[in-house]
Amino acid sequence: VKAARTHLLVCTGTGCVSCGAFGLRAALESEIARRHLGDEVLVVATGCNGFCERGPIVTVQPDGIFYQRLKVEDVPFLVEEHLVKGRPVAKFMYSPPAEKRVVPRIADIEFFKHQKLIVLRNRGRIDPEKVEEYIAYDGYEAMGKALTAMSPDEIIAEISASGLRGRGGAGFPTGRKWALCRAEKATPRYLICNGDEGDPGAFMDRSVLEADPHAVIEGMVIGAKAVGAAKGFVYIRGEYPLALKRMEIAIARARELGLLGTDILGSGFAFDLDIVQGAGAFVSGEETALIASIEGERAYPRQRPPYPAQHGLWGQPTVINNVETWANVASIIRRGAAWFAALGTETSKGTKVFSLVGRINNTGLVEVPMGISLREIVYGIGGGIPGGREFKAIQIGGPSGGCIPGGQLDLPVDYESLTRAGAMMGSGGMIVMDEGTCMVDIALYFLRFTQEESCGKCAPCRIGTRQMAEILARIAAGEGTREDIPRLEELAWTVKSGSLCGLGQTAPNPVLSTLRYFREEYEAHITERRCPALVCKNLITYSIDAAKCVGCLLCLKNCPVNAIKGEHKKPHAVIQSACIKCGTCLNICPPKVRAVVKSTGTAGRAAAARDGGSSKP
Amino acid sequence: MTLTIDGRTIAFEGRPTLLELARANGIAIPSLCDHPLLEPFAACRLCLVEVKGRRGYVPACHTEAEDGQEVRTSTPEIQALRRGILELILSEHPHACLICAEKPSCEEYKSTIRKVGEVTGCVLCLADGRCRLQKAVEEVGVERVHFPALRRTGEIRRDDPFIDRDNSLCILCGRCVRVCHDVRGADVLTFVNRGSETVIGTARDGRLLDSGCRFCGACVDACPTGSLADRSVRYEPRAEEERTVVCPLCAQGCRLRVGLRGGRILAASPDPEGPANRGQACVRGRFLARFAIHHPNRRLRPMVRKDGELRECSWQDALAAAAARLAANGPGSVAVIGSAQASCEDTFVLHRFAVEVLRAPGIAGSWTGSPSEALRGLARAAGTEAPLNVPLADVARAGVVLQLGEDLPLAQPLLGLAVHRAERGGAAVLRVDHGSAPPAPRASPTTLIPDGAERTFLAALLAVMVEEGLTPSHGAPGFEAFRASCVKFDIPAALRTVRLSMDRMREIARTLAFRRPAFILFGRQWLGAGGGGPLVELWNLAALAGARLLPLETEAGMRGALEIRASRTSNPAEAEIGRARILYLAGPWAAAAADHDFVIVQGPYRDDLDGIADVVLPEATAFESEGTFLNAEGRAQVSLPLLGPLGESRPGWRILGALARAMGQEGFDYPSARDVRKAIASEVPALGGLEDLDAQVDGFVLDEGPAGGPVFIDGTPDAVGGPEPGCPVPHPDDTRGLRLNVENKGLRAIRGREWPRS
Repeated sequence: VKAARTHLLVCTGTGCVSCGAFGLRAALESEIARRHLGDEVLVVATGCNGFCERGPIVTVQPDGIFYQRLKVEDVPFLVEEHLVKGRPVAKFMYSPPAEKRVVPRIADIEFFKHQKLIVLRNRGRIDPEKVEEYIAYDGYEAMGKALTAMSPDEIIAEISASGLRGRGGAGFPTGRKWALCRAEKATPRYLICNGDEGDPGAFMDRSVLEADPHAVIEGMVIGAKAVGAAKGFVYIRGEYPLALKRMEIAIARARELGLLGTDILGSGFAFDLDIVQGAGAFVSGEETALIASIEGERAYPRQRPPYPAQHGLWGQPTVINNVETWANVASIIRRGAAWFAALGTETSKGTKVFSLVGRINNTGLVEVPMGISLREIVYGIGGGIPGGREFKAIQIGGPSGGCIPGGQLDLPVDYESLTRAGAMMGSGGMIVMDEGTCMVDIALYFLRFTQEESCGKCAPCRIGTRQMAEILARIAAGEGTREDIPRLEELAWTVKSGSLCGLGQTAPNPVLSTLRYFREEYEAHITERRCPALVCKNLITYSIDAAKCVGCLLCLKNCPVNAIKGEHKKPHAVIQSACIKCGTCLNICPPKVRAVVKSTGTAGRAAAARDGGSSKP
Repeated sequence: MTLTIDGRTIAFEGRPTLLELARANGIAIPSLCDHPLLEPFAACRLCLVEVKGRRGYVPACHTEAEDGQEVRTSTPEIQALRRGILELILSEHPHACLICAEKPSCEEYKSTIRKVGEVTGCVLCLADGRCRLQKAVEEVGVERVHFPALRRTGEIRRDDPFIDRDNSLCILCGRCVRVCHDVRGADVLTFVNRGSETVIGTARDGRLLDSGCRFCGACVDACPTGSLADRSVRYEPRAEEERTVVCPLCAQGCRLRVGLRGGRILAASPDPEGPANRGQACVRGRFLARFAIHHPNRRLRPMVRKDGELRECSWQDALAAAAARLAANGPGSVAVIGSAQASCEDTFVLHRFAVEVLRAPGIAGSWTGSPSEALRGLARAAGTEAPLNVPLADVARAGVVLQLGEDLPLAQPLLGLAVHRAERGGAAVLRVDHGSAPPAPRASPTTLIPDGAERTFLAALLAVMVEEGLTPSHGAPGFEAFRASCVKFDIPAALRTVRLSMDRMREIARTLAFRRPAFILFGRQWLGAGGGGPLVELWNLAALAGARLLPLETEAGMRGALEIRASRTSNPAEAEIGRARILYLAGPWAAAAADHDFVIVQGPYRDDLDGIADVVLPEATAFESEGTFLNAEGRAQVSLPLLGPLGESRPGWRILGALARAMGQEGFDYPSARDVRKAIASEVPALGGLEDLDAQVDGFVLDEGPAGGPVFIDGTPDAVGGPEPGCPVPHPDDTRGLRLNVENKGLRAIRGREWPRS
């Protein structure tokens, strides 16, 4: 690894790439070359830094200065000031929401301060396409130890003692899974890395694969030694081209260096990896469906038992773990089970990566110790809700998970607590919702998702989720009846108890948890035809407060369907029968005026009546 | 081992599933997606049960019985769950009739008109009465469907022969897809789209015809509803009775269940309990039995040529005309041609008639030079015996199969299934075929060699095996001489001739030598139309590889004829067919070179022999007469008539009895087919078991005794002859002169697609 006075760590995770990180890197490189700083300053393209909200991001080391939201045209000034004159540039630094001060150093930023990095330890600091950089940070040390100094039983004992549980959702103890596979007589045995992350708003596995692919490879080689496998597959969804590319490069480099292949590190141990590209079905993340997909079959789940550890890929014993689980393995072997087990709670050890999205200031990828409270994540790391709005709920575990309401913000994040609260760890998606989120609408969103992604094999999931979505759509449209809630609950039970795989068995969770915590919101939709969050279009009315309207014609001109009538300097009115409820008038009405009013229920209907006509559904 | 189901203690052995065990003990568990031939799929979720100690509900079809288990199949929760699931299934399926309160009384009044574009209820559905969904609704007890209907729409697809597809009736149990893939290896049907959009379809939504379908009909039989249906019965009333028959259309011996109403054949379907076929058949048996029986080409009245024209007449006149000519000529002046598609009874009586009455040398037919006869002849010449049975169950467990030519799905459907099962079980299937062979319907690797290079290929394979030292049978009689000839063989020249690389040859040699058990399949195609095919090389290859050589026949009566002719004395050759002045044709004959004084034709269908016939004797088809057939396995099965002979036709052995009587010969008047069988049993040692065959529902398999050790043969013995001149080998689609692939529009379309070059 080339040493230089200064390193510019340019984040090239997918978030930053979509904000122009590659262009930024090129601009930095050419500017540095132009100023002949090439020997002193090195530009490194790293994997995801995590703070995706602020991309594109450049961290300057060793100073630890964090620059954010950089543009290509900022580059000459930045290089001139910071690299030539040695004056960090405050205007590119991070400033917490609604505050004037800047936080120059990455270590002082709240978003990073509360995190504990094991899986993401190399994020934002190494070039994922250079195996040498991975090795420089203790990479492949654990593998060397496992291959030369540990027996398979010792490896399994170490993993078991660490308390590591599957990070894909269900939380099965990893050590026990490996031991089950090892106990099988049949050979060959296989390893699979499940990188078919499909939850809406989740990008944990993607970032690990993009930022540190060798950590996954190293974990899998250790696992291979433990269970006696000679062949493994990394299954990555096709929607992750960058992860695919970086894993391809990583595997090729590992083979070149003898870190994969027939005689790894001269130990005589043989293991090799192949990449399988998923074709975009959410259900492929279910382990038996994923196995079917690798076999070249349609990605239909199979009834368990038998479990993959006994009867997996091509009927052979197979260990299938997700990306994050594999990425934990090397650190555990290198630093010992006791170190890992010291983190977290009684039953949930280590850390967990979450993708923090939704109505939150600091959107991004965070790794936190198990047992941390939701409040710390939302307010400490996430920086709270934008615009000072009220926190309403947090959806954890994607379409399989559930919503946790504001009252339970002090809930510790571990497998059992989340399940008890009606959510689940899942793969780690966290969607923050504020008062402007309608829970019926959210439940409908997730049900539509599972219904579309249901593979169609078993009847309860295929038809049940569809019927549930139909009922929810009816409620959201203000056409629900009092029987709909008990019917939803009954259907949810049928789908949960009757479905074949995890997708169906957990699909009703978003409905059940919102019904549990926000039942009155469902009832408001049904009995009062009112959407308290002012989201469900059929139940809301846009009207203009004649007392406030100054007659500026702004809304009238911008309405896409000409549903506003009025004259210059005279109050306008909404033509309710034509209104499509797009909200353009509300957004365009100047903040000083605020004459457009969104209302629902009785108030909404009264407003509509004032405008001469019922609101068009 | 024991477990309890609903409190009942049940003992069991082996590894049954809970569903199998419950059903065997009379405990009803509803289910829609399970099928006896298929792996459990666990998709319909109706068979969910509770097992103590297991979380939630488990599908009985996918749960193995374990010692000490406590299973509950009908708690209130399970019943509620099943009702909920079935209601959901019904919301995708027309269900007005299923939950109608007037269901019991409607039965008496409902019409049978099914000529509608859309099936909206059971009364309009042709699966009415055999639909498993109806049964499930009855078992689960659904009275209301609480959900809005989510019917799949779309036209009923009628653009294929024989099969209608209606996705609006489909419940996506996947039985058709799985039977098509797992059992038949056809891979035509598949799930298309995802989630609630899922439908059953083909690649690129094409016709079955364009998707490699062989129209075996297994999907139709597997479909629990009316979604996949046999079009021919769409407009027919329900069957009044059902009978079984052994399909005479090829040599596999499928047992069919045939529905009848008012003396007419309705649909046929393979008998799930058929000993050879276990619920499987092919397009001919499944869809063409009715076509073959009621075909307009049937000869229904005897005819005699008068004034140069065939005219219908009475049996008496026809028999008299034939008898007069036959009796007027001395011994040896008549040549008798039989059919290898006839039953044992017919062939036996024909043979007796030919030898004892007409003093003919024997009966000629397509058996001469057939794979079985050639193989047996070769073995006997070498002083050993060759088994001729094709043991389907053993082939299904093969380690390697060398398939030389032969379109198995066309000509050997059941053997094709066995080979497919072997392949699924991990067997290597080496397919070698001519360069001009039709493209295989499946993308299975086929090694292509030029036309006419069969012998060179086999000789090269033998030489390569010897050169590679793959000679487990060294030391067997004749081995040294055999090896000496192999060592001299010019392998590079042969490889150039067959256009294969040494590596490919070595790979074939090793696969064949190392995997066990090994089978080599060959039929007429590989033996060469003119005879003199590479039988010795095949023989030596089997000896060298320790493989079993399986001769493939396509005609239903071939094996029976072989055993009957082999054991009965024939007259010394007093005449050759070419010199005979009179022909008695009970089988196919190349009519072109007609230079005969008098021709008598006996058969069920009009064909071009009518042009040379002087007397025509109408024969009943095998569907209408009792007869015994020995299938490829060597299994003897009695087939009982589905209905009486059509028109004035008669079973072949009765015609001969009457003719013998007309010629003043006694001893041919068998009272029943059973009496013919008794005579066969006493005169044909190999068929001694026919004596009490009637008592055996599944027939019996000829016992061939233990196979001898490997013997190598040097040179080309004379025993390998070709077919007799004038006796054509019928196409597999030809049944007693009725060319189904020409006469039937559907089959014509299917075959045409498969052989676009012919």
